[in-house]
Amino acid sequence: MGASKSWTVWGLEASVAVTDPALADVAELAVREVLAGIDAAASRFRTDSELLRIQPCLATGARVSPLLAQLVESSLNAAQWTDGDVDPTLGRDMDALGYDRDIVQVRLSPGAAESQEVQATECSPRPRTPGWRQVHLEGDILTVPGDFRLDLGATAKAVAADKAACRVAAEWGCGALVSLGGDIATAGTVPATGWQVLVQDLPADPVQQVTLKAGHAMATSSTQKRRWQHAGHTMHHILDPRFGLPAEPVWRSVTVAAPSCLQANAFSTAGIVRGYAAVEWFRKVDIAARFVDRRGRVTLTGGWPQDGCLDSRTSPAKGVMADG
Amino acid sequence: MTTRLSGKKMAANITTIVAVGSFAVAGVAAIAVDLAATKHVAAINSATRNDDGTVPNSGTSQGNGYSGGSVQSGNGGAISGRSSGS
Repeated sequence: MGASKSWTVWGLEASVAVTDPALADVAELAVREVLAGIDAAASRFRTDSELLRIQPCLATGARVSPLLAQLVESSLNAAQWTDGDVDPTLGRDMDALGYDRDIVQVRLSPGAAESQEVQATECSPRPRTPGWRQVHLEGDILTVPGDFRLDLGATAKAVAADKAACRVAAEWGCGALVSLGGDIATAGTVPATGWQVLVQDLPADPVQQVTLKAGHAMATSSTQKRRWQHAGHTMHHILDPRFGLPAEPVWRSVTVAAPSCLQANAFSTAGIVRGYAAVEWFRKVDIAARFVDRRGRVTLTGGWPQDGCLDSRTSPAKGVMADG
Repeated sequence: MTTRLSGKKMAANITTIVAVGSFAVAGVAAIAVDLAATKHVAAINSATRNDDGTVPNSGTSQGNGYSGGSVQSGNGGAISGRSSGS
């Protein structure tokens, strides 16, 4: 029997579960250290973060720490994997939409008025130049054109989960599952019953219990969370890089399982951004994903298992549409 | 005495050989992981999007096993984590 610890960070719930209950406290400390390091390197809300301190120099090139370099490189990998659906240069767009402070301060308001949803098609969107191809990291020198501001938030969170799980497993020789707001990474040994993960966005959404393979990861992106009011409209935090506006919420949530949390996060985010076309894409490249649409219907791709042991707890009207 | 020292020396040599061998195996494994990752990225990038949002039928990225069996049905055991949007 393992043990777990949980706390709040970055406006979301963080937790670590370990296979050895005696290691829960030290595991929590290790995870907190990893998160603190990443926050100090990449936060766009802290004036003392490395990212904000070097911001004035980025247009001409600035020297960055190994950690910030890793986070930038990871974000560029995510952009490459997703053909730019995940773009780390949306910081200025996010600021313009009002998400310029910690989400707690921006007033997270899930379930706000659907009728006022801001979508690309409703705002006379102007095409935006994709920025990620203009970000260059050569050695420890980072160059970002002055038109762009980096927002490493999503990929940095995923990298944090990957690093934290690996650190706990390596330092203490146990199995570890680290969850940061639902982005999950595992490392080391597994519990006797495997890593059991409950997949569900909001309480009214369909629920499924799955077994996550040892050392693998999972991430869920949602258009129902991290919402806020801006100029009389309800925003969500996943922007379509083509326009710098919230992606059309054809999916309530997209969950992806992959060998790393960075990969899972990149594709779950891209699944939201790409909309309906993501299903065909994921089937083509064999990505295990679970899409939940606006009506609560589930679509599975890439070997994601059908609902199993929790059928009786599934909330109403949640049929599985098809399997890839 | 001479025999004991030789034995220790032999043991040290064996340890060294085993250690070097372990590093070599680790190196090969690391290269294999890098190659696998590169293959995945190449396959993933081959499925780019057309202007109308559809995916071109390149036929080059079928069944590359990207997910690697990452997830299976649950077994009803104790929940270790929850995956929801944040």
